[in-house]
Amino acid sequence: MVDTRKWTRVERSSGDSREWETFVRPGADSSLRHVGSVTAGSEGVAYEQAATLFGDAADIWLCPAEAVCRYAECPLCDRTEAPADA
Amino acid sequence: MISVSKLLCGLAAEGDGLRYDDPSGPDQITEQRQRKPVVVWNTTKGCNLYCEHCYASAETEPATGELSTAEGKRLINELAEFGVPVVLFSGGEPLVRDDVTELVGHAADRGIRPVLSTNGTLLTRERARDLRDAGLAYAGVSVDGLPETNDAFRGEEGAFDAAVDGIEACLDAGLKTGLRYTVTERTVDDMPGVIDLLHNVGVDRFCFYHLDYGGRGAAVQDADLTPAARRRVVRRLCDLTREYHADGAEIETLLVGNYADAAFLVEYARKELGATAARRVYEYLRRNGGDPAGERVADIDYRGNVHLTQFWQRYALGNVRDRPFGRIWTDTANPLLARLRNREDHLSGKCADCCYRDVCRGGSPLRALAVHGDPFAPDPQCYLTDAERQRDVPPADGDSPDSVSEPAD
Repeated sequence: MVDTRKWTRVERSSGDSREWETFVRPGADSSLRHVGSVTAGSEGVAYEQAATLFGDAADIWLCPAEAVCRYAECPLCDRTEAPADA
Repeated sequence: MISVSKLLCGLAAEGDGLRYDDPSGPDQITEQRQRKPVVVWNTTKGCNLYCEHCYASAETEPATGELSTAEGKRLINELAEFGVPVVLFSGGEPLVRDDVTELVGHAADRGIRPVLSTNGTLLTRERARDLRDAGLAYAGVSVDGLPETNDAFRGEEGAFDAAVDGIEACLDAGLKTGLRYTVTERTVDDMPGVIDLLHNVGVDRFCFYHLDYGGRGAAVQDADLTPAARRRVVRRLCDLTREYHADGAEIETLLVGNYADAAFLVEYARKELGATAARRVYEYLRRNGGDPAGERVADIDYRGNVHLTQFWQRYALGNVRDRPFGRIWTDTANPLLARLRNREDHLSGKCADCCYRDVCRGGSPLRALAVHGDPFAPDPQCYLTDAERQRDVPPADGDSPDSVSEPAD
């Protein structure tokens, strides 16, 4: 049985902007890789931005950031607020 | 960031160690280029002004999802553990946040040098004293032109006078305070007057920013200087700096955002100061490392997204709510980050064989992206002549200062 307590659900907002999580496949035989996000009002503009930044990629995938469920091992909400030496 | 006053007048100042690796003096030249980045933190998207060129596209109200005080402290702890030397608290307008003094104090306690980028209009004497007591090391106040120009640019009548009041509040509190000034077609003529006015107020540090094409800055590209006009204003700043120093006023002047300036300074030194001085300037600038995107400057926005610099707001490498900053910044599996850190191999066009590519490194990849659709294409604001791009560098003793001529307009 997997212990899902290892991960924390990360709640975050893109603020007032529309953000697109961006994935590229660097070469035809490579795995798809997350390379960050672009901010754009529409899919077309987001695609154009990603294409200019990652023009060598074999594939580009875009996903609206709000559609992603994030589970992280070390999210900011779980990190310590007090100095390490306190 | 290029210190004109250090390179042309020998004025050492706080921060030069970060720029030139020379905390012990002018002879301490090392080969180390890569270092932990200075981090700009856009603490909020809210601002009490609405500036035409705002790279952060700030609005009158804070955005939803801004990092909380607790999240900010956790972030600062991580930045300290990663070895970040400086955090620049920016916005929006950072002083619209009630907790900025607390966050500045937390950074100082964690051994990070906290500095502030502000429009100055909310800086009361009490707030300046509180920031000083919290450990703030420097306040950079943005002013873009004399009153009429500045207020039109910033969207509010009285903004200039309020900013000068804020500067005086900082100086009265004993805070090191400087000017931040974006040079565009609309502000360029006011530059000498603003230096004169603020020097009389007591300011001795003046940072001049070239327009980068991020945020609302991308929409005002038509207000940017032509390359020829840019060359004239950089020459004027070099001359002004030397004139002030000759008169005994040791002002610190810096240029930010266009690394053609680095090559121009070598050319200027070659012409005005001789080959030995030009070689020294060249060596400092070669180690300075050119445009800092993805290397010496990082940006974290109000929602935790990590950007290549503060001007790259439309692309994020990752988000500190998901993953620690250090892991995002060192993840060179990201092909863009890897290419930026090895950009000499990817420069194209006239940059590919330019003799100054070691000191400029292609200039602004963001401007190149905005104009050419390729971050490794030449910076459209490079103003070097063909002859300058083909010189022998570093300058040799046989170079005659008279051999350097200004291009015709």
